[in-house]
Amino acid sequence: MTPYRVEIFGKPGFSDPAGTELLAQSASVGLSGAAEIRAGRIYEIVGRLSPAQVEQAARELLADPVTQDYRINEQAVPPAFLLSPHWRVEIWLKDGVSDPEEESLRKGLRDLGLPAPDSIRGGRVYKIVGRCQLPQIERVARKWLSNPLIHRSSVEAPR
Amino acid sequence: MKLPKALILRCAGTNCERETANAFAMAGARPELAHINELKSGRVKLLEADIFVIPGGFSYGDDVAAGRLLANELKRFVVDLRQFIRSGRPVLGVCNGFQVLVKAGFLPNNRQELQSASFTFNDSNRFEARWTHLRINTHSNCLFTKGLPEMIELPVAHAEGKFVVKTPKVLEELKRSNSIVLRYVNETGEPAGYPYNPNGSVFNIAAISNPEGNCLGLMPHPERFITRYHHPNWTRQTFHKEGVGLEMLRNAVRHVS
Amino acid sequence: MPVKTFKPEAPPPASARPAIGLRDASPAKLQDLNRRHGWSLNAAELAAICRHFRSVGREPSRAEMETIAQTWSEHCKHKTFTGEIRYREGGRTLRFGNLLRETVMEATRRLKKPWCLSVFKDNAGVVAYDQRWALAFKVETHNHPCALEPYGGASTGVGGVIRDILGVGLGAKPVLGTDVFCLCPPDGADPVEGPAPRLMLERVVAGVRDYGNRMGIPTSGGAIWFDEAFRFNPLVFCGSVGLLPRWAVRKEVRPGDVIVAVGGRTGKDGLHGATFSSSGLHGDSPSSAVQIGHAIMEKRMLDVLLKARDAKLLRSVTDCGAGGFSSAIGELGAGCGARVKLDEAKLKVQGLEPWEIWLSESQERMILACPPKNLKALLDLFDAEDVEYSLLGEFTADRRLKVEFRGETVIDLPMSFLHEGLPKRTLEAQWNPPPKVSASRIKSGSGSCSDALYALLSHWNVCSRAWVIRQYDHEVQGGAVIKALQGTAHDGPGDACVHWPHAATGEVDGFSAVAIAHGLNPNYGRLDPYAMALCCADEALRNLVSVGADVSRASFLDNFCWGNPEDPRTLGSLVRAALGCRDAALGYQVPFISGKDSLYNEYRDARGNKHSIPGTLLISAVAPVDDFRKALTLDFKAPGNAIYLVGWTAEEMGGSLYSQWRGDPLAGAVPLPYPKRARACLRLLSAAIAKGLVSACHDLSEGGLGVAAAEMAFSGEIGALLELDEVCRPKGLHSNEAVLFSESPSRFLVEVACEKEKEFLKAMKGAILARVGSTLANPVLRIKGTDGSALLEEPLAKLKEAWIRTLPLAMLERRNGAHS
Repeated sequence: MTPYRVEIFGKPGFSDPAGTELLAQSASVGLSGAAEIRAGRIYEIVGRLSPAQVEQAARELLADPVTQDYRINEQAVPPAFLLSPHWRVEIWLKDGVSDPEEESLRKGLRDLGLPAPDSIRGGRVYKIVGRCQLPQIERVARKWLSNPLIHRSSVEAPR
Repeated sequence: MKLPKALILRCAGTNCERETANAFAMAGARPELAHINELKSGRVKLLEADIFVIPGGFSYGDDVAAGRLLANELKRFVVDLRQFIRSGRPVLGVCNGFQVLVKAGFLPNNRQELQSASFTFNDSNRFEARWTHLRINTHSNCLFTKGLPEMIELPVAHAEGKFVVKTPKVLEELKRSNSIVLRYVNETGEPAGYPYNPNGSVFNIAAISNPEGNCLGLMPHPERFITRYHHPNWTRQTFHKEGVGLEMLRNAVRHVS
Repeated sequence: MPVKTFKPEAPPPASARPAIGLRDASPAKLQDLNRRHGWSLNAAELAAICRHFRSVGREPSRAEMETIAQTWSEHCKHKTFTGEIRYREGGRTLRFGNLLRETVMEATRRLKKPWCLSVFKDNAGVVAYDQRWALAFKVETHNHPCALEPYGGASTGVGGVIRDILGVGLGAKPVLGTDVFCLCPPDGADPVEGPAPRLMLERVVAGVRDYGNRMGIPTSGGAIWFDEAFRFNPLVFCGSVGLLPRWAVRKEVRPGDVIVAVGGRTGKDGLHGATFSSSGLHGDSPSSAVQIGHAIMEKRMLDVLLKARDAKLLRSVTDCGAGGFSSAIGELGAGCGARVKLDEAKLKVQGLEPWEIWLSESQERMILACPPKNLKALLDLFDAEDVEYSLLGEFTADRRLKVEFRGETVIDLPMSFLHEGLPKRTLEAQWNPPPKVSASRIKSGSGSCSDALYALLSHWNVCSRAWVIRQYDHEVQGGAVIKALQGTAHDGPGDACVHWPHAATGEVDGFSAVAIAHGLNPNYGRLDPYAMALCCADEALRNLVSVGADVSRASFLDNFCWGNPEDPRTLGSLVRAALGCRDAALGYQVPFISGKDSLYNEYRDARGNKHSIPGTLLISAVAPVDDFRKALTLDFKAPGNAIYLVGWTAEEMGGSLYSQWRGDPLAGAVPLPYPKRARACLRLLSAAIAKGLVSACHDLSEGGLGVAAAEMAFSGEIGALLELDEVCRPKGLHSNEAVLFSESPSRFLVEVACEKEKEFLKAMKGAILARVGSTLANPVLRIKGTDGSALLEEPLAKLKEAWIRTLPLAMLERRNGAHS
């Protein structure tokens, strides 16, 4: 079964303190070339849910209707996702590390009357705009944004 | 005389229910803690209560977003809660309870309970626990703040307390209907930046109510200021006779006595 | 020691379960098995196990070996503290059969305090609070997990100590969390090897914050000690105070009681946590030892367990900590026996081996003993609030531990072998005092007293902790009547916190409260661990006195964090600290009620160099405050009041911050309290505060008189004039630096209103004290030297700025702009 990936970012006009904080610290973590950083969340849902059901989960549970936009898989890009070419970092808990959020996510889906997924997990996404090198981004991802002991991280170069 | 019943809602992660119950008992009510499962099963009936309280805490861990899961769950009781509010009985949402009332669409007030405001992370990107100076909107109809001095102090403790609105119109409507009850200010009563406004809320909003003033949501914790010994400076002051938080709850109890 | 023999037992295990060929293995093969399985057993222990299985005529199963390794681990059995030790110091030799019993516990036994309700046996120490309620207190470490994953380690550390409180007696309600960290200063350097210190601090604080805040337990009254030596081995002490009804202090287990597991499910998490924390840290430590806490799971469990307690449904409760079910059920059933069906356990993932289920350290689980007649009521409670449980079996009367899985017996061990079969070991300990360095070396140097004062105020170990404290919800439960942050701007450094536990008792009309405080200073230990122990005890009590607690009813907890005890010098310093604890308890007449140790805190880096922490003792103290309306804060209250210095100031600069600032931290004599003399003084001051004769009180600790005076003044925004010549001190001590920055113990700076001076002096009769100055309307700190000339005059705002900026700057705090 292909997993659904639901990505969530703040709408324009709403603050992103996690991104702002990382940008403020960028020089000290060896990322002085960063010009803009946005932090968001990503959820991966595997199971017998229809696209419409995943859409409902995104709209009513995972994203805040006032402050956030969501994007499922490679859907059309909502305004919150528009950004100049950027590095993309994803941080996930490794398989086998218990995710304390999973139970709430399952409850949230149940309360909406949706079928139970085979698995649902949450991760973090960072988008970094600026003149950076791959090793720098990888180092930040592994040293400052995650702990390789329990997290896996992936880095995607600007497209 | 039968004391008015204050129904205090709990669920997994609620954590201010005991002190809230103690505070309501001090204020002259009969507090009753009810688990959300008891409301669902019908063992406890919302409409039999005189006051309804959603206390502070981390409902379901604030997973996904603060108050989101409990807000969705509360929508099952939308008819009862709508009727409860329209009957004029006091409804109080403190901290997480405020987040729940907003995300369930009960505040800011509108007919269809559509969410028109929200909370995001504090500008500092951190949990902030501190005492704040608050200015009461004297034109507000809020029954909880009647007769209180215009300037009060209460503690806040939250990570996702930045109140934001969907559109500027929502804020205008809140102002127009005098629904903004408390604003974060400095010692002299003027709006000021961080840390006076601990989270970056729009228009320094700390509390809003419905225009009728019986449904109040606030980020500060009235139940944490029920004796003068709660104030951080009680060892150097003599002017606090008792906690202003207790006065707020007494107003609610008086309203239904 | 005599070899224990056991009767041959029932038929050998079923062929299907993997047995380990142990009986005929050579010592080399045994060591190989030991290493491969990560049992951390030594040769004598392996031999004892071989003997046991030879005597019963069969091989052990994997599950049996893992159970024994866990039960006998340093973490669970405290082999060093309970083992035999030969200690040498100069010409004298001391022998201990059981170090803990003969020092710390011995003192408690001799003190015979009637209010000690349960000490050194349950999950926490329990003392009387009032007629109806008892107070439980526990502090333990979670060092190794934090070294690997600071956020997960700190959060599960908090979760673990909360379960200790929830598992004491029939369950106590946690009313206060308190956490102490020893970390590398977050000075901005990003090291090539090991975690960045800034990230370490940030993540440890976040772990405590996210777990404690979600649990709705106020976190307050902690401490942080910064030292480069903790770079690779951070120390994270998690503490919790709880209240339980006095009838619920006793617990028991009867044969026939149902074994109920409640809370989280069992997964592969944290396997080998107990054996892992009993050995040193290496670059390749296992990731399975690391978990992230699930606070809401624990909160749900807490809510129903307290209901079950109040409905009197339980006969015993304990938490699943290191060793999981094995440890929890093994300990509860130690006196009777237990039969367990592992198939009943609710699992997170399928396909776990039986030994993995049995030893899993998945968080947020507790074990209950429930009489069968109460079972339905108990399960109804759980169901009503969506709490999961499993019925694992029952306690028996055959004094055996029997564990079955899929119809086969995977463990069948006599409880006596499991709990008493561990061979004692004898360790060598040696204490060589470091060479004495004269204090004169540090007094001659450039820099005035004023420079020193600014440097010490901004020092890592003095500066404001508000950056940390504000992230903790210290006011949940509505009981913070004396907060950690005090003074006009709510940011002064309080000595201790006072908590009014009405959310636990429901009694809003009483005024009794509880205060907790800590003492810790590894710098003194570098010179003399014995003096360090006395100083830690003294500091913890000073802090309690300063907020108005009744120190005559104080109790201590110990936490020893040391390096590898197999090194005789490391063990020697540990023994000396234990002796110090004993003498502190006897001298101050304050019993220890519980404690913990964490050894092997050393790290081997990529080049094979060993980094060991300095021996670090944390003494935590708890005491009741009879009437919190009489409690006190440190900030000066009004100008024109008298300032008294209580206690004797000697030239005790060894290990002091001043010496450290001078670059010679070991120069000078280490502070050494005289507990008997100090006790009298502490109690007089305590009584004077209870009578309302004191306006402000602050103990003198790191940075001495200078730092204490500055903190009291800027916290109250009230100036002060001090005359150093008035200070009670040895004749001939004229050095302003020594008087101002010596860290002599058992001292307080006290503000007394003029109209109360006479009565105060009467109340303090017999104590060493002197009026050393007065408070001023002018917001400055003005100090006259021992020769009467002006020594320094500094504006309070500037002093405060130095003190307040260190941590936010290091943590790269953004200055938040004004919000529209």
